[in-house]
Amino acid sequence: MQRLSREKSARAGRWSGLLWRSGLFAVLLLTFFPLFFMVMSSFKDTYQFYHSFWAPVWPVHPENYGVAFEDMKYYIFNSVLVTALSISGILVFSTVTGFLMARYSFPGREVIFYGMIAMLMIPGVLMLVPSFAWVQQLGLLDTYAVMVLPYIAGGQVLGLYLLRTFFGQIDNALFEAAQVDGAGVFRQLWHVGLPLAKPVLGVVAIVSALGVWNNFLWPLVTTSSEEVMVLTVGVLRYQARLGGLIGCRYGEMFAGYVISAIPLGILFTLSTRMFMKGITSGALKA
Amino acid sequence: MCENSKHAPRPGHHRNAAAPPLGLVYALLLLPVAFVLTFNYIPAASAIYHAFTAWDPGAPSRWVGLSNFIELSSDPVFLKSLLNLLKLGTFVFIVNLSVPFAVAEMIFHLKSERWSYLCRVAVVLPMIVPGVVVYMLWQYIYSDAGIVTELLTALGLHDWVYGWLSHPKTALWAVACVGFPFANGFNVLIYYAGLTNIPASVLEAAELDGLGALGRIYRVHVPLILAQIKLLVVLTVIGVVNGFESVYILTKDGGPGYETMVPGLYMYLNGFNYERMGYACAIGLLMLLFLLGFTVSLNRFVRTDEYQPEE
Repeated sequence: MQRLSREKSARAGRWSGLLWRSGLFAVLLLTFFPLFFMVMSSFKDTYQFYHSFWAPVWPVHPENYGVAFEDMKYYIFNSVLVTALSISGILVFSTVTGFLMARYSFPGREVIFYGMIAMLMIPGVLMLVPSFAWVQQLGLLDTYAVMVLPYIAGGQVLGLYLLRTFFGQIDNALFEAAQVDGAGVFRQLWHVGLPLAKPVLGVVAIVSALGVWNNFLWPLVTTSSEEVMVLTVGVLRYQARLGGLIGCRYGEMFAGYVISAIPLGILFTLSTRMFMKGITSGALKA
Repeated sequence: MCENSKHAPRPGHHRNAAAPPLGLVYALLLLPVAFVLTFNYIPAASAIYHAFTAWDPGAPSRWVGLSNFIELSSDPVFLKSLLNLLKLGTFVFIVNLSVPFAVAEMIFHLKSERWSYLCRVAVVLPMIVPGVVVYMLWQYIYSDAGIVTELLTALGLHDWVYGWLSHPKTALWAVACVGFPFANGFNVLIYYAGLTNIPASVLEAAELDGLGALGRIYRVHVPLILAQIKLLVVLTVIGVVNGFESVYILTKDGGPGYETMVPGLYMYLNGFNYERMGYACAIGLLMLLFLLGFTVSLNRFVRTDEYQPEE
């Protein structure tokens, strides 16, 4: 009896294993189809797009990418600049505050900590209108600062949480040894804390990069001039310039979409493991 | 005992040996705190205050008490947007929690670690495409020259070919189906982290007890990843209530009519198009209160261990 059911379950196991794998394959296929279609169509001219809709076709038209890049290069530059500045600010702020709060106690420490952490609870999008009115009053509209400064303010909070936890776990003896050698706060942080914190800093950087890079509504309402416009808003303009979706030059449109994914694609390729880790660490933002 | 724990030194307290001067500490904290005050606390306070005002751009606001909220309670567009949110939210909630769970289970069942890792990379890979571009891509997919139309034509289903996004009957469901098949990489990774945290001994015991695959999932996996499920429930609800980027890109103004209007978009339109910023703040405040109430009550009634991020 026992043996029979074992054999049965082994056979069922093989079948269910196959079922699991084909299910997974089907889901991945469906997930990637639109992206595959986007890349495939980005190499077609308009005639090819209409006449061989489903299949890749010869000759390919890489010049679509030239046109798209020419039109979008400033958006990419702006996005990279805004993201880089924001991440730098976030890393500096959250490292310093996280280190101080983990290592030393001082009056007001917990008030400041929880006062900052509380901001994780309030989604920025609900304050879109008053935030806009406020930065307008500050005269920041249509500058890099209107994006970078609020991104740093909001992004440092998660970093503070992660880094305070991390620095709190480091063995105190390491810092004391440095202290005996005459290292002050800054040198302890620079020579002892930072090298150890590299993985955490990487995670903070990636979570912040994803958030800043993908932000759409804030730059949409606070910037209107091409000089400071970032990619998420720019790609919408780019599509409109091609004539919208009707009678569009589809090859160039899709080439633009593909270009918009390349910068994060590079980040993903360079740091796949950290990227995957960073995504789940962002869950703390709840 | 109580007293004891009260006087126990807090972690970090004893580390005060050679602390830097207080002035230096506060000086270093000044800028980060100033940033949060300037860009988070001031707008938050302004949002709460202005929810009770009539506030037009370029003019000082005027205190009107609860009248924004009274007006909202009988504003047909707002009520319609709530109904849409309920429909859209229920659908998104179900698919965004169930499909990634199924995918995480499928990956978890793969014997080879190498394949499992590759599959996880594969579900995360689409995240390199900015959300805005994903919505634009789906706008195209639904369009006259789009994939849906071509597919239906190729299958000979000419009667089914129409403007999915512009027809009042289908627009909301077209918006809901963006992102099909909903294998959200983030959710998959969270579930997967939960599954790998289940002790091997528990899994073996379940197998020896002769539980089938479904029984194991239902009686062993689900109860042991409740923390992850709860986290995703909170994140999904927050995302659905706040999210209106997809509607903004796909239908611009919640059309046709108000068929795809959601509260977030209505807030945006009031603030930036209808010049009724006080009214917009009132909508935002209601959404915030709903989310806070939801999160707090979920935390109170469903107790789970703290979620620990894991690779």
